[in-house]
Amino acid sequence: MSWAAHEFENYFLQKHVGLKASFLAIALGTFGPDLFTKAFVYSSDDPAQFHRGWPGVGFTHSFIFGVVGAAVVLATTRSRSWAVGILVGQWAHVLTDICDSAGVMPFFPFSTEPVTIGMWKHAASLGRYGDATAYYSSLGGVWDLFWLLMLVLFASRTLRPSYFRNVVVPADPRAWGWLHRRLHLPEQGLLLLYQGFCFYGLGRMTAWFLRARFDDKAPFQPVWGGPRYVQGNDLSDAGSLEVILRTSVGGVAFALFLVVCWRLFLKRLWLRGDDPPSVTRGRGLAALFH
Amino acid sequence: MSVRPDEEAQHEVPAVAPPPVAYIAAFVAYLVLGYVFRSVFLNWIIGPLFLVGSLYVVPRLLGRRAAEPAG
Repeated sequence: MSWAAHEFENYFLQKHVGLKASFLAIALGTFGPDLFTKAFVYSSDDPAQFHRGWPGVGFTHSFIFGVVGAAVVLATTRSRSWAVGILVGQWAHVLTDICDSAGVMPFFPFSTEPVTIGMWKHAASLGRYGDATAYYSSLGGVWDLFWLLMLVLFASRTLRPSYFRNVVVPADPRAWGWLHRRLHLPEQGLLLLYQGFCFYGLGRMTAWFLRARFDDKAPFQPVWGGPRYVQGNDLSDAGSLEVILRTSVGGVAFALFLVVCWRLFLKRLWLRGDDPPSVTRGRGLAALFH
Repeated sequence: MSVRPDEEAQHEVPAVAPPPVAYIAAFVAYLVLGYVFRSVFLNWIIGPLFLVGSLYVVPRLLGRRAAEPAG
């Protein structure tokens, strides 16, 4: 699993969607796959299997989970900004988690083969603190740092007050207005709330890394497949060719499924959805990205 | 309508953000508290809310208290 990378990628995504998705929905989308399951992962008998596998709650780390979430949001709120945000955020989470040894099932239920590049070991079997220590002793910590650099180099303007006022709020005036009224927060308070996800990512990345080095005294092993002191926990012993084949078949089936769903009901939901006044959408990918 | 960087610059607003030193102080505080009380501060609820709490809510409460007449 990835840790602070999920917070940093919110702003990177925000830069690419601009006015076309709600930042709060993107944040909820990236939290989504772990939101209701993570607490149970550490207490399960086989955390990796439970978290990412099937049987288990591994379906939360699949593209179809994002599609279902976005469709439910679109059907209930009619907000396209929220539907797009949930979809983009959840899909980013799925793609990010491909890096650890447990992997994800992106095309569940059409393929239950875990896809992984095994960059670092999934270490939930060590409990929450052990997991954090292992993550920040491996390339996982470097992955967080990579996303922080991406944010600083290519999307730092998304953290500015002017961007918040001119893009983030107009993309989702209802939710920010609601927060303003319910929490009695002026613009400065809302801005701090918006910037808070980046602050949290940076804070927890640093604190966990320092704890891993000075409190737990774990060896720092930023090598492929590390850290070495954690036991391997791959969910599948299939070879690369088998994984590619099964995943490709699953991907094609998923794409066909999406086309059918679009024609049956998703298009209707999308057309009756609404946008904030400042948003105009193009067709195809231009409807999602700017 | 997509807002491009040049358009965004035209709508540059007066600073509503606290000064950089306030962010640094909040970060150091979060780091220390997170390191010592990890289960309390290094989680999905307190973490994202810490900035608004430390740089807006707490200063406002302290300011209100200081403005109250003594005695």
